[in-house]
Amino acid sequence: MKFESQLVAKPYFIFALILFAGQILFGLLMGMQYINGDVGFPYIPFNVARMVHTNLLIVWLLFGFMGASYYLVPEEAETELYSPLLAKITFWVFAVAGVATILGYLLVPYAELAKLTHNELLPTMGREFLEQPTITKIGIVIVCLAFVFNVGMTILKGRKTVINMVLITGLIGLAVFFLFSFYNPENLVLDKFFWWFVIHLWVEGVWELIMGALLAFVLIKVTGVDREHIEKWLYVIIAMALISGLIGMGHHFFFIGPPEYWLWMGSIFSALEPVPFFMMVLFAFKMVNERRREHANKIAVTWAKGTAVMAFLGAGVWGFLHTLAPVNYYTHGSQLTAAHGHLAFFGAYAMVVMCVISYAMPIMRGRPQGNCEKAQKVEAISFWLMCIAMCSITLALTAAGAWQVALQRIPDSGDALSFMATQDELVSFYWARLVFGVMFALGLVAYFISFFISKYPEPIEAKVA
Amino acid sequence: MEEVVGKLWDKWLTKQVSTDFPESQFNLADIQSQLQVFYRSLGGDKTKILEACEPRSVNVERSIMQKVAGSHQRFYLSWQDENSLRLPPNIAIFPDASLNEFLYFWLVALAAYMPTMQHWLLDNQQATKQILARYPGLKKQYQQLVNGYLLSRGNPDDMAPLTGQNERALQQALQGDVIVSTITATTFQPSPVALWLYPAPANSRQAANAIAPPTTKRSPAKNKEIKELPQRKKAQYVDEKKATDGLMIFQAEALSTWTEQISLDRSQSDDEDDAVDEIAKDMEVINLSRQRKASAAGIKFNLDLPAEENDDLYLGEGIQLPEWHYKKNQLVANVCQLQTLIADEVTPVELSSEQGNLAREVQNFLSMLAISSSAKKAQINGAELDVDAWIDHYTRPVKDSSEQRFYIDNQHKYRDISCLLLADLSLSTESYINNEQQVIDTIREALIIFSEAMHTLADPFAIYGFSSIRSNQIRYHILKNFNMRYDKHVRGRIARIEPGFYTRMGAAIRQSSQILTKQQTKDKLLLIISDGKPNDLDQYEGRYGIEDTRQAVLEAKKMGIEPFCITIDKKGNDYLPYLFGQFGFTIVKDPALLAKALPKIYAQLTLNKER
Repeated sequence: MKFESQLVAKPYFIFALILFAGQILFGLLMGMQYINGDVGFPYIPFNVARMVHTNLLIVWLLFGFMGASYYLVPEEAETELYSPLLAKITFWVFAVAGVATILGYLLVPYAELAKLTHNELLPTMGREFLEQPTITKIGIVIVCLAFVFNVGMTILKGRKTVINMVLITGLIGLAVFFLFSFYNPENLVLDKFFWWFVIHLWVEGVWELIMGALLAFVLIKVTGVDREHIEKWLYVIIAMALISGLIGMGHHFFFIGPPEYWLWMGSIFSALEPVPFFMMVLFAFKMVNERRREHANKIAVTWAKGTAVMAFLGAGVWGFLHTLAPVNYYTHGSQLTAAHGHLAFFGAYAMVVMCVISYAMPIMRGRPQGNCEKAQKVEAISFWLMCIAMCSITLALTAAGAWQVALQRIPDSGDALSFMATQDELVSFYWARLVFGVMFALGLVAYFISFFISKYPEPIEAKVA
Repeated sequence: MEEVVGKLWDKWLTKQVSTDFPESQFNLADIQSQLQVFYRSLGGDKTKILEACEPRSVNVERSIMQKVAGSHQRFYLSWQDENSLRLPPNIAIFPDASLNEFLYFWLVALAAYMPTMQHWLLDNQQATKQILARYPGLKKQYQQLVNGYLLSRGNPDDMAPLTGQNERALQQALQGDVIVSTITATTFQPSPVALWLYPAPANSRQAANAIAPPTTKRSPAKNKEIKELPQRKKAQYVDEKKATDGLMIFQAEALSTWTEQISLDRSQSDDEDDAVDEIAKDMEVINLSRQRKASAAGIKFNLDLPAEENDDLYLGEGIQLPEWHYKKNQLVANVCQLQTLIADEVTPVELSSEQGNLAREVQNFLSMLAISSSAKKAQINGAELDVDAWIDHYTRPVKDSSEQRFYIDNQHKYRDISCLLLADLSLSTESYINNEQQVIDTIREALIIFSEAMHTLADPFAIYGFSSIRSNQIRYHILKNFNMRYDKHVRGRIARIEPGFYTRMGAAIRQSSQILTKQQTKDKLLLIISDGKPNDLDQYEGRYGIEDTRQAVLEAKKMGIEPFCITIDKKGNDYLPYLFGQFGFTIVKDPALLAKALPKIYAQLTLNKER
């Protein structure tokens, strides 16, 4: 670790992983609810569990991105963080607000939570992923602005590299596009527009910049290749991501009210969205093949390659499966969407955060050459468990989705099964999904265990204390 | 899928219209060195470099198929200017590979006999005649060449009347039956003659001179306008001022910057051991108008560079330098802004024990080469008596008083040489060479060992480092100038070098040459340590960067400076001969050995410079 202030990333990473564990628990619960709707009722009904599952995802990824940025930016800028204190304060503010919100979801019925937080003053609640009470949203904005300010000032003060410029662009985009969540028009179509301005521009726009920058950083560190080379790749990848992602937003405008040309625009441009992800795969593997050094932290290299491949599969291939308008006409909102969402979020964002954690955590814990071999082995097991489990979940949901379309969407309205009747037909797929969900959870447990394996003796101060 | 189909279609179509014989193709790269020797042996200009040419567009009449295929628009024409002889990268005109090979030799011979070109048509024919007259043995092969070539050019009778007429004239000229001095102007140019040389592209000066005068003289005697073959190449102008493409906002170097103006006459670094005045000798103007610590309050937002308080100290306002634009074939003035920098907050550094060992090893090596000091016997004067010489002299029957050399001279030999070492501090030096070391580490090490060696040799030397961000930010770091004493501060400065930005090598070489010319020594050596091709964010990459660097090297040579490049780029052989000449560079295979290699290279370069 080059700079003392990079250490502020540590609590972010730890907290992110705790939230990740929470997300998986609620995922498992919902896996059961898909099979038997009464599980957990009336304490944690499905709608609450789903809200917690998705909100935890977003919050832990945000924590992960923030931690990764706090680690990466000082090293890239070759200067201490502008204000480590601010970073610590925002951590606690965000952590407390995040936990309070999740507890709010769990303990109070959602309608009551809205009343409690005076949603009527500025109604922003009730939209998928953006269910947070307005006060929490304001908190998120303040935290994000403080974070962007802190990171931005560090970059302005220090060396500007392509990586930290791309990263800060992504982070500013993240903060700015979140502002759309404060606008909640009455008109449902308009409402959807602004909702996608947050969700789509995040996950298929600026977050890709963040992912590209993080991936490039880890690759530079573990492969030791020529930076001038990596930067050119990064430029092309993010240009492709923005070109395809911005107009590709049209694939959310199918059949919700906007003019018909969006069917073409959305189909064509979103069909290009796999391109940057495919380039990331090429990029990662090329860099690793051309490596100039064998970094002892092998598992970080595995994560870097893995995230590129899984992001391509999840975001690229599975996204493309149902992005063309004629296909989407049938698959819209089916289990196929869930399949895509799971693999894409895990492959692109969860894994890139774990990649950075896998690289940075050992260094912050005083092991510049990575964890010991045994810990890396356990982490590798967890890597494969999680990846295989998530791929299997995706396949199960894809099959469920296809069957759902066949039963519910394709037949004429008289012959088509109802939504709930279809769900009953899909139970076997849901069983498979639950089994692989358990496998994923085991992978996560193995991942956590890997942090506590150490052949190195504990520092002496700890013993004295 | 479309791509595959497109490729198949293209392959098929190209095959239909192509007149080449790919199976007997001959590549320039295979015989380049032979040709070079052949060229020199025929009396060709020694400084000219043999290179592959770029295709040039020639407007010839094309068949429908050729138009569909989009072929026969650009041809590899052989040409030469005062710097180089350009030949096609490969020749596949003849089914017989040996004829293809012979054509290369033929073109080289033509070039040697026709160093400058006055009239494209006449000169080629005359040079052909001269060569055949001088070397009658070539006649048979040339006849084969022409006969084979005429087959590939097609029958003039099948062509449009005017084109056919021209074609007939050219074919006659090729056979050497008559001297054809003019051809008819038509909408199309006659298809290029692969056996002849062509003028250099129109954007180079000499080509313009060569073609221009005759066109005015040749006024039409008949109704048909008769004139020179218009052999022009469209010059492509690149928008120089457009420094970026502005695609993304993080290239926003165009954003204006602001700063609080704090005018203080001196920097705080004034009380350092190195007097700033010493540094100032390097600079025309020195203007240290700010106090670094105070400027921390006012933030200068520059989206490319670190904030000033974290950066090295800026010396002066920056120096304007020209840059070579190869497409315009001219030196464009004042496009580069070079900023001299010096690290002012330096912690003095002592030699580590390994460095000390290495330095001693190198010093031993130098003394073994007898560079540092050695005793010379039988001298006219010296510090010690040479008894042997005296006895020899005394025992001679006839004593010649002019032979009285009785002293041993163990003084340092007088070496009149100064050396400027220029280190590439671009981003690529951040890459690793093995598990532990980065390129920058080896450069750091090499600079220190080199300094130690130079210190022992007592040759005046200076060390600079450079990196760049486009033409407006060329960062030129002073590590040690000629006036500074080599001490722990210099070592501290060397220890502080970090990978910077990109590699605009031309500007750095120009500035180094400027500094070096001010040295009073007889020999001036410019050593460049590099790890790759010249490269910057703007158009400065590929050919542009190479050509500019080459020009800078040529300029340096003209100033009487000897540039020499030491690279750790394993692919250096591809471009360094063009930049620095065949003997102007060396490749250090194992970058980890750079520190050891550098002083040895220096010693070998300067060994013959003693007097």
